[in-house]
Parts: sequence; C-alpha cells; structure tokens
Amino acid sequence: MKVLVVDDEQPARQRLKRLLNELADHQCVAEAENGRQALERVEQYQPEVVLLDIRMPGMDGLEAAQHLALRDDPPAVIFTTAFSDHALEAFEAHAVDYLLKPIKLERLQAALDNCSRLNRAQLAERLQQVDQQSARQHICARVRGNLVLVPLEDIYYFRAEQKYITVRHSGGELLIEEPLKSLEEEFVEDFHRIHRNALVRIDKIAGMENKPGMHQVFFDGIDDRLEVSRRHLSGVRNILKKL
Amino acid sequence: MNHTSKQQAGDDRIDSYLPDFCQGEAVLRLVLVLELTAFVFALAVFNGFEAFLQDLALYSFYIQWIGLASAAMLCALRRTRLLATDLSATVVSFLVVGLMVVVVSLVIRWLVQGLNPGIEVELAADGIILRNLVISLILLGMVQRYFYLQHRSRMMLQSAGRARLQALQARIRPHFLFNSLNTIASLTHDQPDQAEHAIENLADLFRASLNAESSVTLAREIEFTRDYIELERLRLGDRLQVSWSICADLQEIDLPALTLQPLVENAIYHGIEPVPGGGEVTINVEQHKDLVIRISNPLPAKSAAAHQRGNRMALDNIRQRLELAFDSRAQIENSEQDGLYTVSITIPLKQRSV
Repeated sequence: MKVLVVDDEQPARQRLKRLLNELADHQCVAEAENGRQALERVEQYQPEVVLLDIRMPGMDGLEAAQHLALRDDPPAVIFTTAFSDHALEAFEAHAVDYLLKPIKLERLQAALDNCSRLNRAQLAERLQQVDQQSARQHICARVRGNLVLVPLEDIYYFRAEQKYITVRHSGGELLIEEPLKSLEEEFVEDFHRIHRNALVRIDKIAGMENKPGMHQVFFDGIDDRLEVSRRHLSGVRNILKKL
Repeated sequence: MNHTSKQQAGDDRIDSYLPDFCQGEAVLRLVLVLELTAFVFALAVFNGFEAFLQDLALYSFYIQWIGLASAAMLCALRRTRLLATDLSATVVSFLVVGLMVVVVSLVIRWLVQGLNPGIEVELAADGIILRNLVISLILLGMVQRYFYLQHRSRMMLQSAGRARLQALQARIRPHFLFNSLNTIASLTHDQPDQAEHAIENLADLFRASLNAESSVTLAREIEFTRDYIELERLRLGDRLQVSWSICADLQEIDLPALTLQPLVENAIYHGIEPVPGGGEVTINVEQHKDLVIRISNPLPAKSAAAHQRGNRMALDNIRQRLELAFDSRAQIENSEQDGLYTVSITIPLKQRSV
C-alpha cells in the first residue's frame, strides 16, 4: 500500500520511512510536516494510508483527519502519538486506529494489514466522537485542482445556493459541498444562523439595517448584505445587543 | 496517651509535643491562658463585685507566677535531653509545675509573714497548697493532652507534605519521555554518537526526578536544564531557539531540584511546539537581594483552554515545592504581555554558613 508519513519532527519521519522500507507490501510515497502539507500530499500522491502525528503546529492531526474525511474516497488514517492519556481511550472506543511512539515494526505491520478505508461518513463520524472539541480551524476546498485552506476567522459567511455552499472570505469565495446544518452545529461558537440559507460569523457583523419589509445584516470590510429571515430576527437582535 | 518518641531523620530539634517556651509567642499565649484560668476561678467564688476584683488580682498574681516560673524552667531545660521525648516531657513538666506551685506558695507565705509576722496567709496554708497542687496538676494534664493532639496533627500534615513532595518530584512528563525515546531510536541508526549522548542526558534527568534528595546547587539545575534543551533540540531542530543570561553565584545557591527545567519544558510545550516555525525561549537568572529566574516564551495567538490549564498545573506543582522548601518565602508569578508569556520565580537567599 502507498503510505504518507506525517510528523512535525524530522527524526520521527526518518524512522518511520526506515521501518516502512523493511515492509515488503508497503511503501512510503511522501512525507509531510504538518496538517496543511498532509492535505496537499494526499491530493498529489493519493496514498491509501496516512500515518498521522496528532500534535503538530499549524493544523494538527485530528483536524487534518477531519478534512480528509470529507474527501470522496478518504485514505485510511492511523494516528501516531507519544502519549495522550484520555485520547487513547476515545480512539479505542470508536475503532480509530493509533500507534504509540516509538513504534515497533510488528505493530506497524499489523496496523497496516488491518487498516480499512472507511467511507467518508464513517470516518467523519468516528473522528467526531473521538475529539469532542473538534471544530475545525480551517475550511478546505479544491480550487482549479489546487487545495485551498481558509482560516475560519477570515470567513464572513456561508450561504447555501442550490447544491453548493458559498464560503465568503476576505480573499474571495469558495464553493464547498457540506450541508449548512452540519456547519452550523460544528461552528456554533463563532457563527450564527440568520436565514434558512445563511450562516454568518458573529464577530464580523457590523450591524443590521431595517428597511421596509426586510432586515439585512452588513459587515466590516465587505459590501455584501444578507437578508435575515423573520424566524431568526430575534436571535440576531440578541447577538447584536451583545456586540 | 500514646508516647511515641520518633526523631525525624536529619532533624536534631527536640521534637516532643511541648511548645517551645523560649519563644515569645508561646509565652504570650501561656499568659493569656493563665489569666483566663484566674478569671474562671475568681468567677467561681463570686461574692460581690469588689470581692471579685480582689480575688481576680490575687489569683492572677499567684497563677501567673507559677505559670511563668514553670515556663522559664522548661525553657532552661530545653537544651538538655530532658524534654526530648513525649514521655520525659510529660513527666518533667509535671515535676516542674508541681515544684513551682509549692515554691511560689512558700515564697508568698514567707514574704507576707516576713512583712507581717503572725498573719496567716490563707492562700499559702499547708492544706491549701496541697489543694492547689492537685488542681494545677489536673489542669496541666488537660493542657498537655491538648498540646499533644496539636503536635500530632502538625506532624501528620508535615509527613503528608513530604509524601506529596515525593509524588510531585517523581513525575516524569510522558510527552517528553516518549518523544525523546522515539528520537533516540531514530538517531541510533544514522547518528549513533548523538543517540548515546542523548541517552546519557535522559538518564541524568530521570535520576534527578527520582531522587529523594530535594536540593541542588543552581549550577546543577542549570546543567539539567541545558541537558534537557539539548534533547529537545534533537527532535525540534531549528524550531527551538534558546537564549540564556546568567548573573549569579551558581555554586552558592541551593534550590529544589527540577525547578527551572519543568518551566522551560512548559515554555517549549506551550510556546514553541505549537507554533509553525518555532520560536525563542529566553532564560534570565539574576542575583540581587534574592534570586530571580525569568523564563519567557512566545504565546500562540489562539491559546486554547487546554494550554492555560496545562500551564497552571505545572506552575502549581512548582509553587508547592517552593513553598515546602522555602516556607512560603519564595514567589512564583506569571504574566502575559505583547504576545510574550513570562514566568518568574523569586527565591530568598540565605547566608550559607562556611
């Protein structure tokens, strides 16, 4: 199988590559040193398995796995960790595979032999259960064949249009396919639903304008305006009071 | 009453339950208690307000003299072995107080009769002296019981503190341990000399954290910390930058082992590892009137709640050990400013006896 090795520490990657060399059926096709690079390498090399270190700067392993879970045919994910007291119980309880560093060759072999490519729903669900505070810090999308990562704090709003969701951020727009409802649940801390088809970042709201028969929120920094539905009006008013 | 007479290892102070009556505080408390006792006695025979005041004066005079004379004698005896164990302290205090009752009574009788021969001093009549003796010894017995229980409770707190100290010290951070082992496992093939050196450093750090001996020189503590940083640099590479600034009497200052190293570990875990590209930890060690150690690291923009919690726990651990070592005279503080997180420890400097 084709394996991607992801770890922020060079000696750790070195060792995993050496171990993989000793396994006949598996080979290391690429390495990455953080979550962002991991996503790019997956795009580029299409590995079947990703050995994913949990603790990495920038984007950690858990978030990278969440992004991977949204792909059409996600690779199998095996986490690696030096030590993580409670997290391991959660992993075991939800059949998410992991290996403890320093990794023994036999255990690596066994994990690779056992690993299964879950479909995206299964993987996403298991990851959700493993890491309770699992809101992602980025939104990831493919733009003209390249992977683009937008930090959550740069996003103004999500708007549903027919089959896609438009992600409006400070650099432009992205299209993603996730349902608005699940975005609303995941980002409940920072985003608020203002309409059946719009989810807005709270700290970017500049105010609400009341025109005859219509209420619109407007933002700091961009000219876009979004309509607030009657159902969500009082909720939005409450938010504005707290700002 | 259970008369245990254990001497604490390495402790050459007298350790019976009796308070040290050479200390002003204990004597002051004694005076207060004696005065209350006199008050109680005078109240017991209350027979009109003026008589009460006279009785109170008399009883106070009598009881305070006995009490203070006994305290003085017990203070004098403290240097001898007589008060070393609970049993001997009990017996000796009975004797001393009994003696003082008799002596003070007789002295009063002698003085009064000397001034006014023929007068019968009621308080100093033979039968009364005997009565007072019995009363004093009974009261003494009660007070001794109280002192004993208080002493025992203090001993238990101290030994609990010691146990906690050992538990605190013996903890090796698993994150550091397993990451180091992983790095060493990797180096064994490509850079065996570095692997060997790393194992030596790791062994030293292990030993320090397991050692019951709690105190090292500042020089040694800095050495531990440098060894630790070398290990971390093996796996973090250029991401970890450290700058030192030391201005202190390294060999002359003692502090609990592994005080500085865990703070640097914290700085690296929370401030360097999560940051892409890494950062710099600055360590300042300065000696003025006190020893001040300052450790700074960059603070990641999104400091998650877990980071704050982890920081706090490590600080509490060190704060507890500093308290135990320096009797609450050491201080540890943390502050955040301009994206920089700083922990500073202030340790009082005692004069080392040459």
